[in-house]
Amino acid sequence: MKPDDFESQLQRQTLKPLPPEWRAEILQAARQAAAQPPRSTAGWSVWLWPCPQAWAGLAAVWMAILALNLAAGWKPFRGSARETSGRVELNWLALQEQQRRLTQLLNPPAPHPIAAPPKSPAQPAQSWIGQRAVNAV
Amino acid sequence: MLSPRDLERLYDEHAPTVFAFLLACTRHEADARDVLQEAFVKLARLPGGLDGVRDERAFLLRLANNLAIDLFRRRGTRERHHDLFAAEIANRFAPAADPDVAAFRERLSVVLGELPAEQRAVVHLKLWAGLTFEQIATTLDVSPNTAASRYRYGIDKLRTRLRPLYDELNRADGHSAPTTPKP
Repeated sequence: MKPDDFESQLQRQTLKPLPPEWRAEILQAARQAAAQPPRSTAGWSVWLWPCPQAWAGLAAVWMAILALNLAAGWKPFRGSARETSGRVELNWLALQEQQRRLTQLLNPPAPHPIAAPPKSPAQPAQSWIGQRAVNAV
Repeated sequence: MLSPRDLERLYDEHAPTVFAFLLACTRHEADARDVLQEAFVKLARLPGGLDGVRDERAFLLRLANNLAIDLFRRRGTRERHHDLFAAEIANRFAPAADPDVAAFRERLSVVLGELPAEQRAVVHLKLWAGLTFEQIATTLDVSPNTAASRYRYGIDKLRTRLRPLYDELNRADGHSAPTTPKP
């Protein structure tokens, strides 16, 4: 593209020169930097630098999810391992006791020959299990 | 790694162009100096030096442009006011003895400062760094068509804003436009 008069006119304007006193300072800084070992680029700022807004947005989303969970009444389990094992043990004992009773109910002990008890108004009332055993005999 | 002699040669050959471009980008002399120094520090640390780089000047301009963008990102919104005021601070042109030339350069500096940053960068690289649109596209990481359209928009704005002064100076001089005095 051929520049017109106006563009040529602009091109002819002399730009501000580079201050000569900067040369020594800038080259000195560059030489020092070259002499130093390269800095480690590890670190959060370097890792997050490519797009800090995206990381900030992601963090905000996680915070929102956490807030919603807390608001919905979700409570994380805070028990220790010892409490957990104790609870399991209690449940196991309760289950064993339940099985024992069930076995007793289903296989009752052999009934003794029962003599007809003398009727007495002082005799206590029999339980329903005892009544059932009597009926079975 | 570049030797000290290589660094000196690169500075002498390209630092004036890079500095002028940075002054156009940052519009502040102290910022332009900081970024220029940072560019040479990075250059000195390059493990392979400039091996494989075909156009040293384009490479340096691209490096400087990226560092200037990083500077603006680091500053963010807080420093945008500083950037606006810098339009009045930085004078991008050499002082001139002729008052007409001095007035034109002063006005040109102000109007350039009013252009959007992307148009200003393209106009500067085309007019004062002498790059082609392909080289500008590589330097600024845009397409050649984008570079050309930004240049056209920028030049049209400069023409509109500077035309009254340009014509007035031409009329006052009879026929001559405000040109740089020949040494």
